[in-house]
Amino acid sequence: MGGLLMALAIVASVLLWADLTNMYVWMTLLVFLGFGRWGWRTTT
Amino acid sequence: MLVEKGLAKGNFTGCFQAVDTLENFAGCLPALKNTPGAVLFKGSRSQRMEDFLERFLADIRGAHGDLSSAGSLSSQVGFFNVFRYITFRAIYAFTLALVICIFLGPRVIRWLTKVKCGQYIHEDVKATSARPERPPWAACSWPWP
Repeated sequence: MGGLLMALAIVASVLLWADLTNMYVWMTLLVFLGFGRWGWRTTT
Repeated sequence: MLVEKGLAKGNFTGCFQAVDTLENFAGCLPALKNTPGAVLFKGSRSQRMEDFLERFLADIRGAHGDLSSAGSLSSQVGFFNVFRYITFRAIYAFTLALVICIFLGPRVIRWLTKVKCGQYIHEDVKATSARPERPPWAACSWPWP
C-alpha cells in the first residue's frame, strides 16, 4: 500500500529529472514498475 | 584555391567548403548534415582546428537531442547550465519525491482506505499463541516456526 505512494513519487521524480534520452532510465523504470505490479497483486 | 583545384583534378564531386571563421563554419553545417559519406577537415594547427571539430560534434549531438547539445537551452542561457549536473538533478529529484510523499501521503492513504485496501493490525489474534513450544535451549526463534 505504501509502495504505491513510493512508486508514484519515484516515477514522477524520474520523469521530471532524469535524462529521458538514456535508454537505461526507461529500462530501469519499467523493471521497477513490473516488480511493483507484482507486489501489488500479491498483497491485495 | 589550390585545394579546390587539386580536388577537381582528382575527380572529387562531393561538397567542398572553404571557411575562415567559426561563424562561417557554423553557417555551412546544415548543408554538411545532409551529405552522406565522410567529412574531412583540412587546416593548420594555428587555425585551431579543434574548435571547428568541437563545433561540428556539438551540431551532430544536437540533432539527436542530447543534453549536452549546442542548440539546447543550457548553452544559450547560462543559468540553465545547472540542469546538466547529475548531482543537482539527483538532489532535486530526491526533494521532489519527498515533497510528493508528504503532500500526497495522507490523501493516498485516505483513498486506499476508501477503496477497502486498508491494512489492519489484528489485535485479537496473538501471533505467538499459534506457535508450537520451542525447546528451552533454542536461543533464537529461527528454525522453529
